[in-house]
Amino acid sequence: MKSESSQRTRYRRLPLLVVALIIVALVTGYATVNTVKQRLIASTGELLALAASDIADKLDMFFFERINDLKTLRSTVLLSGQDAEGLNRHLTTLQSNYNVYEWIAVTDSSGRIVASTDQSDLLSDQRETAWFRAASQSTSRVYVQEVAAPGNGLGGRAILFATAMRDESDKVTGAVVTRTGLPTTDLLFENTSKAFQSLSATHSRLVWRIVARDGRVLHDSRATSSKDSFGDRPPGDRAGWSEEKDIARRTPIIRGDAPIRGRADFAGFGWGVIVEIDRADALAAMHRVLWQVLFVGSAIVLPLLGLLIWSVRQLRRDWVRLGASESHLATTLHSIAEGVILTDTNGRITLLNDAAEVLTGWREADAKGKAVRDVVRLMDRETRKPLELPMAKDGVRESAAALLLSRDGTERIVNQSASPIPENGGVAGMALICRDVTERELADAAFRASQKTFRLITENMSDVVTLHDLEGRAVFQSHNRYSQLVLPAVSPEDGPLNYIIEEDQSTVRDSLNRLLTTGEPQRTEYRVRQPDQRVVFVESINTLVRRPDGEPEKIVAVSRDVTSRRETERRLIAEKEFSDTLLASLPGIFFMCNEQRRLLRWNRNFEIVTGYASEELAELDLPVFFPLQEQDHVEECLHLCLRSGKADIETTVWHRNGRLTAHYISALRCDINRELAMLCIGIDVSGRKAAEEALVTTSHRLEMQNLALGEQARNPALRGEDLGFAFRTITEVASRTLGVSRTSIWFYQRDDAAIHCEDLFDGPSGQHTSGAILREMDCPNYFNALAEGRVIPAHYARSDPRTKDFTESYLKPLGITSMLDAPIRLEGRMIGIICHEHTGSPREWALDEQNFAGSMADIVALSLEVWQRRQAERALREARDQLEVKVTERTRELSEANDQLKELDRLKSEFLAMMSHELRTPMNSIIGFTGIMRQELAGPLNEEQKKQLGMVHFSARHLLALINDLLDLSRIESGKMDVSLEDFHIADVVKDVIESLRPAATQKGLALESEIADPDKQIQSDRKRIYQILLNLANNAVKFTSAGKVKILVQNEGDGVLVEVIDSGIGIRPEQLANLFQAFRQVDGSARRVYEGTGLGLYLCKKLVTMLGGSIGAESEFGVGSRFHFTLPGCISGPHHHERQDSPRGR
Amino acid sequence: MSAKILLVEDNEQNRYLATFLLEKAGHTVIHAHNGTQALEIAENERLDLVLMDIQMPEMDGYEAARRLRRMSGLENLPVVAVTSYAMVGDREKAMKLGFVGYIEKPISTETFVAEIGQYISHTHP
Repeated sequence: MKSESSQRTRYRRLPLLVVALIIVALVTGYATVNTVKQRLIASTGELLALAASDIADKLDMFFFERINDLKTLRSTVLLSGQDAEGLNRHLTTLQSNYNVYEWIAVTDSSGRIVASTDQSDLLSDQRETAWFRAASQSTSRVYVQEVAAPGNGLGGRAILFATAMRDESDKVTGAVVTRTGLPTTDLLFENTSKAFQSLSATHSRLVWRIVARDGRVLHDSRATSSKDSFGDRPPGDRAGWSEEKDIARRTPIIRGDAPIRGRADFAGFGWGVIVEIDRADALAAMHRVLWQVLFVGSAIVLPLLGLLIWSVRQLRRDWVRLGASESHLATTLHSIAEGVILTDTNGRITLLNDAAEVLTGWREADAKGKAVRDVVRLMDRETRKPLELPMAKDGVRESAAALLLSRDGTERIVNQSASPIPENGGVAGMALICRDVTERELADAAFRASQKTFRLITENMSDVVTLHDLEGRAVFQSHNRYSQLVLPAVSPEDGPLNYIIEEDQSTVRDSLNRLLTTGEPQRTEYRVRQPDQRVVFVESINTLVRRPDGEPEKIVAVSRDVTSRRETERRLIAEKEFSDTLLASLPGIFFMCNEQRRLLRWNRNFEIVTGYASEELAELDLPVFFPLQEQDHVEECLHLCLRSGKADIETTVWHRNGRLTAHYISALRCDINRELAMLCIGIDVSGRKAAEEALVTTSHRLEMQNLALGEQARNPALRGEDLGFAFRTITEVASRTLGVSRTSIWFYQRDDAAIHCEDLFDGPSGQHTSGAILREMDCPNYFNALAEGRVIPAHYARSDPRTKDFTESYLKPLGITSMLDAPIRLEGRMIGIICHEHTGSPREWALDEQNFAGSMADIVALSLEVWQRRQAERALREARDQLEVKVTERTRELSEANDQLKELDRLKSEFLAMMSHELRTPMNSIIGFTGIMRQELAGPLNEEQKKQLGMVHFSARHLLALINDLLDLSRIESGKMDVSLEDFHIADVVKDVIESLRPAATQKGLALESEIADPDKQIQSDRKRIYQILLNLANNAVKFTSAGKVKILVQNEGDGVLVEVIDSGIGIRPEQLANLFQAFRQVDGSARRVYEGTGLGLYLCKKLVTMLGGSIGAESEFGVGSRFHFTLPGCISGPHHHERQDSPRGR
Repeated sequence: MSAKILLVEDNEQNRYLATFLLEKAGHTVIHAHNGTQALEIAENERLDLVLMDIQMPEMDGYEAARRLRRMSGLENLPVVAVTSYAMVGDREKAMKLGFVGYIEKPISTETFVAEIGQYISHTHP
């Protein structure tokens, strides 16, 4: 594959690249290092040159100084003369001052040393020496010469300085000469060395030499014996440096040199200073740094390198793997069962795997390069039309099963899927995968067919088929037409057996376990909760289904709803239990036998009654259990039973030991499993007989008692007047009925401290007696017992604690053995007893006898009651008769009185009416005629006449008022006042009053006001009278007020009204206020002339107001004014109507 | 309008008084001393009004009015009681018996004529 190769190339390139990088890095590193080295060397060289220069300069300076010294000496000598002694001294001093001088000498003009530091020199001729000659020849110049030092000194050389002394004529007068060794080197060199070291950051050794022009080493710092090393290259004209090799040691060195240049007047010797350092030393610093860098670099680089190596390894591995996968892919492709066809983008086949070769029928070699359409021929399964191959451009495209036609014509059913092969973002081709599904399709079809069959079977079964996993979880349930059972497939989260009722889950689990371990089908019963919450019983048979390899795969369960069956079973069991219990609990005997009289079943009682054990009974026949004399009887009964279905018999059952027990046996024929059998039940009747007899006796007795009671209840004697006779009857009846010797009736006396016998009947003699008294203190126990108020059945009276009080005194003498006492109650209170005494052997009073005694006591009470009632009735009758007489009397008296009153009343009415009429009639004339005359209807009048007539008229009216008042009063007094009720507005009455009084008020200059709180207030009352009352009061107010106002106020009070008349008049004194409303009292006797009136007015008002249901009152402050008030109810209660009638007195 | 009025009153002064007032008002007044006379006159005269006293001898006002009512043609004749019977029951009794009005004695001279005037019914123009 292209991509593959490119990848490979890439993979191949990478290491090369890396290697190249490394090489480059190395080279670069090397170059860099070299450069650095060179630089370092150069700088070192320069420094060395500098150092050499420095030393050279120092030497120069030395020489200079020496020359100067010489010059100075010369000058000194010249000046000082040529005193030899002095000169010597001077020279010595000089020498000692300046250590450097080996020799200082002065010569004369001929060259003879005149002074010298070395005494041996003296007078030695120096004329021939070079120096002298040179010095004398040259002018002021100093002659410097390198000479051999005598013996000492460094390098064996020394420097000679000489200069001639000249006089004014420039003639040589002498010469001065000094000789020094070469300067001490260390001093000279030390500073330089230090400087160099500090500059070059190195502690390496410096070696310096002073070298003559011809190469001779004048001085060597190494202080070894200096050798003439002619090999040493002499320094050049200028300072410089170079790299050399140390001749002696053959190590590379850096050499810096500098010429000792000389000064102005000294050319120098052409010496040079050489300063050397081992190159290694020079580079040592660099090496050190380099090592550091190296370390650091390594620290960085090495890991990177490691990473690089690792990634390279990875790449290599991938590359290898890629190569491996490529081959793997190829292998896979060829080995997989599905046909893989790879195409390029043009649809040409690039690869056909083995399976594809089989499917298509083409060999890969042949198919390669061909169009995929031609090789892979697909057809639609149904239509057999050729199908287009799925061309997927993006993503996988799957197609449905189609027919693949191979080269040789074989048809197969295949599924195909196509997917593009991506490469670099594009598509390199297509991969088509074909799967031969022929067999599978066929298998599917077969499976479906079998499933259908299965479903058919299971649907029409009556049982439900379910599949379970090995834990019991239902994974499939057949759909069943006939069964309602639902064995739910539960969700995975639920327990596998959740649909089973909890209690049964363990059973089912055990069954499943047995199934799994034994492999044998298991039958289980359990309960299941249905969707509708019903619980059903399920019986299922579980079988294990194994996989082909024998491992259990799932469980098939065939289940059936057995609820009803179980129900039936349960009921049967219950029934059986019930019947067993029933039989066992039967009070009598039960047995069942067949036609042959063989016993089939029996109950426990039967065993007991017959005395045989259970095992024995099974072998026995019926006749065994009955006595001989009964055999025929029994046989007859059995025949009857078989014939007619049932029969019964009363017979005796023969116990094993001979005892006979009377039984009543009832037999029933029944059909059990088509065999006739007889079911017999018998009850022991031996006890019954005795009971029957007792019952007869009792019932007879009861009959007698009831008869007696009934008779007595109807007996008129007991309802008669003769109580004694009633008692006697009762005692006789009781005695007879109970069959006792004596019966007596006693009543309590003296506050219940004794009982008195009313009647005692002695049966034998038939005699009645009475009068006996029994005292409590004589028989306290008896009285206590009696006080309890209950029937006392003293069966054994002589020993009974209640009655033994009179055992000696009474019972024994009379032969009484038993007593029966019953309390007699009247109106709930016990008043006495009825006592029955029995002689002869003691007798137990039966309950019915006690009841009878009680009943007899009741009858006594009843008789007493009746008698008492009769007495009461009689008394009542008499009282009533007397009362009637009195009433009649009284009525007659009342009637008479009434008549009289009526007559009186009538007379009063007549009188009043007549008075009313008689008094009014003349008034009519008086008022009438005076009225006419005043109206001038009978002719004109003069003033005086008018005045006088007015007075008459006024008086007449006054008189009429008085008459009216009197009549009213008399009517009231005699209770004949009538009241005419009507509903009216009180306001209207007030208005009328005010209108009436207005003239009078105005005349007096008084204000007349009214204030009605509720103008709509209506009351029901006598309007005329109220008008009269109010008019009276208001009139009084006007009368007694001379200035100010009179005010009438009406306000509601409760249902009615409160009327007030307030004036600002003279008022009333307190002592007179009390008597205001009394008759015939005048307020102010002295003022009678001014204030007229008979004094009836207020009295009448009071009476009227009271009559109308109200109240009247007055308050006053003398000199200030008065307030008269009265109340009236809303309506007057009581029977009033418009007709004239009597009003109740005193209202 | 002038009316013919029958005044039934046994007391002479009362008669005089009432007559004076009525004649002053222009009415014609016929007198009757008692109920019997009143009936006779009522039969013979065409009256507009009867003023009847109650308290009278022989036949009292009630009786007279009753009889008057029963007389044919006089059903509409207004009869007013003029009486000193001032009890409440009297008024009602009078009304029940057919009196159309009821005037109490002593009469008010100022208002008497006007009072009776309202009861006049002119049976003839």
